[in-house]
This record gives sequence, C-alpha cells and structure tokens, in this order.
Amino acid sequence: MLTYLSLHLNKWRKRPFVILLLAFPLLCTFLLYPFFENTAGETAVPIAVVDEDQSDDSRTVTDRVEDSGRVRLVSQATRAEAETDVQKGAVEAAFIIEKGFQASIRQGEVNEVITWIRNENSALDVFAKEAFGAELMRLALNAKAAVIVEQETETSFEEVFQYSDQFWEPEPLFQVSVTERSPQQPEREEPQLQSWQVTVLQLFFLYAWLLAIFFLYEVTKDENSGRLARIKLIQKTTASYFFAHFVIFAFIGLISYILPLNGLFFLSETPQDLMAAWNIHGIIVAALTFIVTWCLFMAFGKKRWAVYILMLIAVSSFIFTITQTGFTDLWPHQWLLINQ
Amino acid sequence: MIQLDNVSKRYRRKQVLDPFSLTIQEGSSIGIIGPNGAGKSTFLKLIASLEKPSKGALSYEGQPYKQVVKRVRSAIGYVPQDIALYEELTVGQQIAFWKKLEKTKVDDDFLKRMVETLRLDEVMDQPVGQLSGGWKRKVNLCVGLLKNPSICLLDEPTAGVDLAAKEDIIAWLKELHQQGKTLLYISHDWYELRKLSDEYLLFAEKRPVFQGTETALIRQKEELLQSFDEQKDLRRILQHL
Repeated sequence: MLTYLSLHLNKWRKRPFVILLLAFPLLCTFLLYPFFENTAGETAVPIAVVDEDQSDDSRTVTDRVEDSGRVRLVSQATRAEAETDVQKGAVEAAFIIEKGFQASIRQGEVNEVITWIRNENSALDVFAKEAFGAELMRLALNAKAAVIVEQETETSFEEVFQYSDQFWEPEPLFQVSVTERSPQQPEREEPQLQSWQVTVLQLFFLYAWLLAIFFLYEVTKDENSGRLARIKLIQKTTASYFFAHFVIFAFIGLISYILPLNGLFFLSETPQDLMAAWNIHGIIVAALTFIVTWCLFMAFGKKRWAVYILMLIAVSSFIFTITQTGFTDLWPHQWLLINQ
Repeated sequence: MIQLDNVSKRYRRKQVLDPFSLTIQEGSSIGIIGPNGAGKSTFLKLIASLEKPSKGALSYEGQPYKQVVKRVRSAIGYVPQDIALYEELTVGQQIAFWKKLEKTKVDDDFLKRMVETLRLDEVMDQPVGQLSGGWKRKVNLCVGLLKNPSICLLDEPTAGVDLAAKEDIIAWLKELHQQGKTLLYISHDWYELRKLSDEYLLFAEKRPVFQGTETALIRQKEELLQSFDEQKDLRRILQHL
C-alpha cells in the first residue's frame, strides 16, 4: 500500500496545485470567515414596521428591536403596504405601531398599542414579537413607576423614568433564562451550531466528496492506459491495488472535510463538546459515504462516465438536502446533521 | 509449453477470435503477423491471462490456466502496445516503482544488463512524459520484462520508434532469445521479424491460419492468398515475402 501512496505523493509533488486542492477549503475558511459572519447577519428575519405614532418612544422601540440582531426591520409608510408585503411573503410579519402609542405607554398601558400582522406561513416572526413585547414592557414599566412616584413625591416623571430604565442595562435586572435541554441529558444544555455554520459544513462535505471522486479518475486512467493490466501481471492480483486506492480515496475525502471543519470551529470558538460531536459524527458519515461511493464506482465497472454520475449524486445530495426536497433521508448531507 | 485448445473470444456481441487450437513450444521465437482487427492483440492477452477465453481452454506445462494462473503470471512478461507508464515519474523512479510491486525477487544483474543494452541509463533522471516515443517504448519494454520472465509477450514493441531505438530493442530481444526465453511478438516490420523469428503465426479472419517457418510460409503464400482473396491487407503483408 505504501508503494502506491509514495507513487501518488511523487506525482503530486510535481503538481503542487493538488496539495492546494486539499487545503483549499481550509484557506477559504480563514479568508472568508468575516464574510460568513456578515452574511449570517443579513439572513436575519425580515420584518416590516409601520410607525404611525412617529414619537420618541416608538423610535426607541424600533431601534432597540433592530439592535437585537435576530430581525431585520423594513420600514413601510402605510399599513396597506405592510399587509401586502406579508401576503407576498416579502417579510415574515409586520408590526404597526398605532397612533397614540407614546401617550398610552406613558400611562403604563400596553394593550392595543402595537398590531401584529402575519400569515399562515409566518414561522420565524416569533423572535420579533418577543423583542417588541420586551421593549414594550420595559417602557411601560418605567412609565408606570414614574407616574406613581411623580404623584407621591416631587420627583419629575423624566427623572424617575431614567432611574427606572437603568435597571434594564446592560441586561434586565430580572429575566427568565430559557435554554434548550437534551431529553437524554436533562441536566446539560444542548449546544448547537448556527444555521449558516451548518450550511458551510455541508459545503465542505460536498467539496471533500467531489475531490475524493475526482481522485477516481486515477483508477480509470490506470485501467485505460494498460497500467492496471501490467499491475495484474506483476502482482498476480489487483486486490492490493484496489485496497490501497480505496484507502487513499477515503483519506483525501476525510482530510479535506476534517481540516476546514476544525478551522471553522476554531475561528467561531465552538465549544469542545460540540466540536467532538461533529467530528466523530462527520467521520462516521464520511466513511460510510465513501464506502458506498467506492462500491458504486466498482459496480459501474470503473468507467470514466461513472465518475460523472458519482459527481452528480454528490451535488444532488447537497442541493436536495439544502432545499429539503426529494428523498431527503437518502442523502449523506442529511445524515451529516446532528439535531439541527 | 503453452497449449490453446479450441479457444475463442467474444466481447458481448462482437466475436474477436473464432475457435482455434495451437501449441507454443518453449524457447521458440514467434513473429505474429496479420491485418488489423484479426485478433492478434487479444491472442496475446489470452496467453498473458489478462483475458479469459469465451470458450475453450489454455494450459501451461500441461496444467489448466485456472489452476496455475499465479505461476503463469510469474513466468510471463507482457509489453502492451500502449505506453503503460506513469508519465510524471522519471525513468529511474518508474523502474523502482514497478520493481517494488514485483512479488518475486528481481534479478538485479539482468535488470542492469537490460538498462545498459537499451541505453536507458542516459535518461534515468528524465520524466517519462518528456521523452520521445522511442525512449518511451524502451522504458515500456524494460518495465514489461523487469522480472526476467521465461515467456515474453510483446505487442508491437518497436511501433513508431526511430532506427537507433529499434536496433537497441532488437538487440535486447535477440539476447533474450539466445538465453532460451520464449518470445511472441506482434509486428508489421519484416526487417525486425526476420531478425528475430524462427517461426511465424499468421492471423486472418479472426483466427491463426498459418504457423511455421518463413520457408513454409513462402511455399503456402499463393494458397493462402487464394483462400483469403478478399483480405487486401493480407496480400499487402505477404507481398514482402
């Protein structure tokens, strides 16, 4: 086996770009990581806002909701435009800050000051509803406190309002911390990757799979040039040739997946538990995928067209998993996911 | 001794060799001639155990190929028509690689003598991909005969090479024959055939139609041409006799 490995190393030494191909996703990870993060920001849930009150408090609420990061606010002039956007699916939902918002809030009233518009397909707008609700409660509680204190003492409304508001910074004095827990280990918090990280990992997997398949060209070239026949005569059998080439094929795939995977984990400071889980699971899924791919290649008669078919399967696996369409459970890219 | 008994070969719908029987004696040097598509290369591959006959059987020293395939492969050195080499490797690396793959011990003296006769030491450090056709043929030959085989099967070993390279190859093959090795080689070059062969195997219409010396071939020439009247290529081959 080492003879074949040294053969390929000898060949690759004369073509340094092959080594570069192995390290390419890792290099991309380091170069493009800031871009990944920014893109993730742009994928925040789009929400339409109509500010009919145009007051200081209404602006404060919208600014703070936008700063929360999970949503991207799209300003609309009228209620009708916002409703159309929701119906078209251009935004996940719309929030109408009703006229008289500031006056009601300053009285500590929170009923019917914001109208929430959504359609039957809206799913991710709950984040926005929670953010609006939290900011509403913050203003209303500050105002309620200020009204009472102002009636009982000589302190001004603004003074008490500001005093009360400081208990919300940097985080509310009291808050309920909601964390997801695993049913198997209820005492431990279940860490998860962000959705953009999962997509990038699936891209890494596609790259690694394609690169490994590309290596199969070497086997077809050996077959077509008569080198395999020569090996058959010299070694009396081709078993060790195929075993060695399977090992190299799987090694190329695994290394070109595991390297960028851990590069990404390193840059995003992923917890070690999560890193270990994704590494172990990834290696198992990749190994299984490469065994199936190799068997298909052999079953197809080690022909050049088989390489194209396998590449098509790899790309289909990625596309069908990402878009969640068509035999999703059959694709290795789906097997790759852990409780996402 | 290799014996082929009622052997034929078919690839799916295409018949490549019609049934035939023949015997190859140890130590003989047989020039294989015939038009393109007559089944010469397939015949060599059958003997090399690289292809299995569709019908019939081969035997080596009286034993069926199936039972002694490893022994057959140890005894046979096969030089294909294609340059079956890794172009990225230098000649030295190439020889070292194939030598390392060899299961039986390679005779270093034999290898050294072959490298000298073929003058490969002049290009030892050059990548095969950068060599001319003649040099590539010589490396191809060297790798095919690396293990000092007792039976050498050569599919057009001098095709497309210059005269100097051809002389080197002929000289080496002659030396092998003098050592008592069995040579079977396909060629279209009568100069080379006459220098090396002590008998000929003529293929026509997907089977061997003649096996014997040049004198016998000359004697049967007209009879063969009449039998295979439509084979214009055969006429062209035999007109040199």
